[in-house]
Amino acid sequence: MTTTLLDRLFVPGAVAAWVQPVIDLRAGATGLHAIECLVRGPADTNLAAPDILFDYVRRKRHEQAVDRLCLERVLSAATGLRRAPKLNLNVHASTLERDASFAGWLKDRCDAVSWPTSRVTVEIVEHAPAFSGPEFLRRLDELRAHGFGIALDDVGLGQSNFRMILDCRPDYLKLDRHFVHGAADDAHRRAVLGSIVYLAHRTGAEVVAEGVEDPRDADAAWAEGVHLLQGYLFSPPVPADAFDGEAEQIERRAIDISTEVRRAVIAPATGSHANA
Amino acid sequence: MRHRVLIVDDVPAILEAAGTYLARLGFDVDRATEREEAEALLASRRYAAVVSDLRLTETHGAEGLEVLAFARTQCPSVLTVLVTGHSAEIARTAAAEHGVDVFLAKPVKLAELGATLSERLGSAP
Repeated sequence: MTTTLLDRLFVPGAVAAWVQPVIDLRAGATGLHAIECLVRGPADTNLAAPDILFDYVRRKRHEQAVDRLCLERVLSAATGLRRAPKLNLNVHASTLERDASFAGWLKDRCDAVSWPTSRVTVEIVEHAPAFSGPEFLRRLDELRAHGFGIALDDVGLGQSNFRMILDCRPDYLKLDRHFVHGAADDAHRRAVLGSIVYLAHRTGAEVVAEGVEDPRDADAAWAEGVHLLQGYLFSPPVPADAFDGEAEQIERRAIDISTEVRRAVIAPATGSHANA
Repeated sequence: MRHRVLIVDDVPAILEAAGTYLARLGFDVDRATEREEAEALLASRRYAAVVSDLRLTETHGAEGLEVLAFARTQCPSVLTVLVTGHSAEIARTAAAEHGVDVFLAKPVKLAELGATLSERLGSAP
C-alpha cells in the first residue's frame, strides 16, 4: 500500500512545534502577551510550509485528526515555554463542528501538561458557513466553560466576517496581515484598523494586528488603537524549543519598539504615516 | 526570469529524474506526488507550467486531468502538460475536453519535455 504524505504526518516526530510571540505595546505591560503555537510538517516535503500543510490537510478532509495531532505536539512542547504568559492554539472551525469530544479532550491535554486553560486561547481558523452551525456553537460554549479564551483568526478575510464575530463573540480579533502591511502609507487600511478597534471596543474584545514587519506600520496600528502586535518586526516564528532562549531578547526589542512607537504617535508631525 | 514549473507524478523516481533535469535547464521546479498536494501548491504559488501524469493513484483513473483543470482555475494562462501511458487517442480526447495544452505519451524523453517547456513558455529560461 502506498504511503501518503498524510501517513507521514503521523510518524512520531514528523510534526515540529514552532511559536511566534504576540507583543503588548502598552506602557506598563510591554512585552510578551501570548505565544501563538504553530507547526511545520516534515522538512523534506512540501508540508514544511504551513500554508501548504493545512491546505493539503483540508483537501484531504483530515482537519480533525491533524488538529489533534498538532495540538498534542505543541502542548508537549509547552512545558518548555516557561516564559509564555499565554498560549494561542489554532483549531479549524470544522474540527469544532465535527469533533464532539474536542473541548473535553483539549482540557485533558492541558491538564496533562499542567497548563491552566485560563492561559490558553483557541484561535479559530478556516471557517466556512457549513461549520458555524449548532454543534460549532456548542463547542465554543464548552471551551468557554472549561476556561479557554476564544480568538477569531484572519479577521477581514473569507468567512472571518461580521457574522462570525456575532456567532463566536471572540475575546480577540486577529486582523489579517493584508490590512496591516502597508497601513502606514494607506489611509484606507488605517480606516479598517480603526473600525475593527471600534468594533472590538464595543464587543469587549482585543485586536491583534498580524504580519507587522515595518515599524511604520506598527506606528499606524498603535495610532488606531491596536496594542497587540505580531510579526517579523518582533520575531519570526522560531522552533518551540529555542523560544525560551530568545524570549529575553524579544522582550527587549518589544520595549525598544514600543518606546519608539509611542514617541512617533505622540509627536505625529514626525510620524512617518502622519501625512499619508 | 526563471519559469516555475510543477511536476506531478506518483512515482518518486520519475519526479526526481524530471525535476533534476528541468532544474539543470534553469527551471524552478516543485514536485508533488498527490492531487491534493499539487492543488495546495497551485493555490499558493504561481506556476508557468504544470506537468502531470494522468494517473496519480492506483484506484482513480484521471486525477492528472483534475490537477490540470484546477491549475487552469488558478491561472488561466498556465501551460498544462499531460503525460500518460494510456491509449494515445483516448488520452488526447480527454485532454482536449479538459483544455490541456500539450499531450506527451509515455515513456517521456526528458529532452522532449525540456524542449517542449522551453519552446512553449516563450524562451529558454
